[in-house]
Amino acid sequence: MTTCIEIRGLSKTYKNSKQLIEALKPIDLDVHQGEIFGLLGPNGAGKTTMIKLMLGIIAPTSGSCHILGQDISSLKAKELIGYLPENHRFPLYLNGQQMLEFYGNLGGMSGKTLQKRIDEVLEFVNMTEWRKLKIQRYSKGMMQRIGLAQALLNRPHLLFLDEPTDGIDPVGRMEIREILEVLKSEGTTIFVNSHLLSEVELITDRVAILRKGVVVKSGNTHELTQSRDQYIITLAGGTPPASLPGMTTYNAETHEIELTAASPEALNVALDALRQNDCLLATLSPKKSTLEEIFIALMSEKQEYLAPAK
Amino acid sequence: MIKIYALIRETFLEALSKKVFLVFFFISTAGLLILLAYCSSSGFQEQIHNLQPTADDPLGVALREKLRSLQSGLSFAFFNAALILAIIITSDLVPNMMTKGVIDLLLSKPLSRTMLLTGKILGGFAVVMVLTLYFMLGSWLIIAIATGVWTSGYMLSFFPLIITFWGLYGVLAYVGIQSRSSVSGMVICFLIVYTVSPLLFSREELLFQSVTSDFWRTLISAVYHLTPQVADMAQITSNIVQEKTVTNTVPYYNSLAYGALFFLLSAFSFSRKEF
Repeated sequence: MTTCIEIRGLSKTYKNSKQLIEALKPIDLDVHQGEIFGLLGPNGAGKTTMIKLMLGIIAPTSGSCHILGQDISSLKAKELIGYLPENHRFPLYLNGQQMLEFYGNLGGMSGKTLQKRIDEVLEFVNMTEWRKLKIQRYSKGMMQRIGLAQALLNRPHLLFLDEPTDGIDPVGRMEIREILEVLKSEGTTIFVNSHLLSEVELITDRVAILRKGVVVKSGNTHELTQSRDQYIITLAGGTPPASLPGMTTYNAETHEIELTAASPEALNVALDALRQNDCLLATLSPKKSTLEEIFIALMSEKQEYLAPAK
Repeated sequence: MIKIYALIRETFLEALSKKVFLVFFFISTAGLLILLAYCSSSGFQEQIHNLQPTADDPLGVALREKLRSLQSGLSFAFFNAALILAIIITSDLVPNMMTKGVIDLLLSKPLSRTMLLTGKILGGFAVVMVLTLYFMLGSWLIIAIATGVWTSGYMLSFFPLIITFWGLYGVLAYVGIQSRSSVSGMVICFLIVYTVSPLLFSREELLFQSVTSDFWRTLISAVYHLTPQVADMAQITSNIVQEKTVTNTVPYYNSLAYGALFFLLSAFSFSRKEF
């Protein structure tokens, strides 16, 4: 798998008059080409610092960051990226078309090539109809979509999105999600920074969770949300014995059993015990935690979530 | 080139969206209309008719004198008004560019910080040049058509005005980068234009009367040479309009050097700034 972002020992320490503030401790991270990667963390965790470092907006105290082999401080690396910042302030005195022309020009595009690309991205984000409308009259959702269009103008290999669905209604969020899915299918790598954990869980392939400038957890989103050794069994009939091996809870109303089984053998011992008690199994599934549960647990330092993902 | 052009154009549109730009434009237009009405009035036309070259005044000296006094008054008023409005219009261009949500996106584009700042500064400079040319060219044409005398001095006074602004704009950009606020830059520029420079310009009449120590006099003279000589430039402007010979060109170099120095400092500071 080709590495799109390669971060090695990247750190940032801010100096103010009285003290040194270690916003980001040395971090190693790889983001693969074509994946959607989520960066999570509470306020002050160092997410914004990390994004700014990756965009070359601030200089690192130590370490390096390469985008497809190019050092991020080079203009070549910036030709490969698109960026939609959080709390962006697009020029309100321009209309959508003028704004895209401005940012397209800054990216080095001009003339018919730029006009053709503007038509394409406006169509892609469903904003063609509103291209001549002043940006100050755009709704929040339209603002995000035109922002996404500007980030896509240069056909980026890597797209940075800082809180892309913040303040947008559910329909707007779904539209953005669909756009990201299409981009992913076209091979664009997407790096998302978001507070909306349910959104991140829906769209990302892998995540990293930052706390106090340190990556406390990273891995495949699916694996992270899978609870280790825990299962949910739903019964279609019968009652489980109180001595069922590994049973942690039983809900008589929903007929759901929560079970801990350290190995497949242990799980089968429990299933055999259920059958011996004339229980009829309806479903068996591994217990899933939401990303939000994991995040909250990590922030409150619950040790069970700090172990590496399988 | 396309990147610099885009920055200049966007800065122009930003300035155009401001009320103060419209105020500048409306004041200029109103000034031109008043001038047009005055020059078209029968009283003025009669005066011009009476001042036409005669056997006693074959070169039309009286007419030229009348013209010079009119243009001199106009140029003095415009020099001061244009500087105030130009400072106000351009004061927030750099600080606005540095606000969160604007600067992060600009810096993510494949262009250097120096180019970004240069484009922004040139954009502001272009705005002031266009507004200044609008009034000066308009008033020059009105007077020339009304009197039939085409003088060059009035139009040439455009250059000292623009060079004076160049020096102040450098200060404005540097203070804007350091403070990220438009107010500090404006206050410093207004202090230079309306307090420091006039005082230092008239230092011999105003300051040296009460300061007798050679040390302090030397210090005051040094400060005079090290600050933008706006009052001197106003004097030069007046001399150019009146077609007098300009002997002291130091204020030109002072303003040009001031602008260049502060733009270099601005570029250096901007390239090291963290956002």
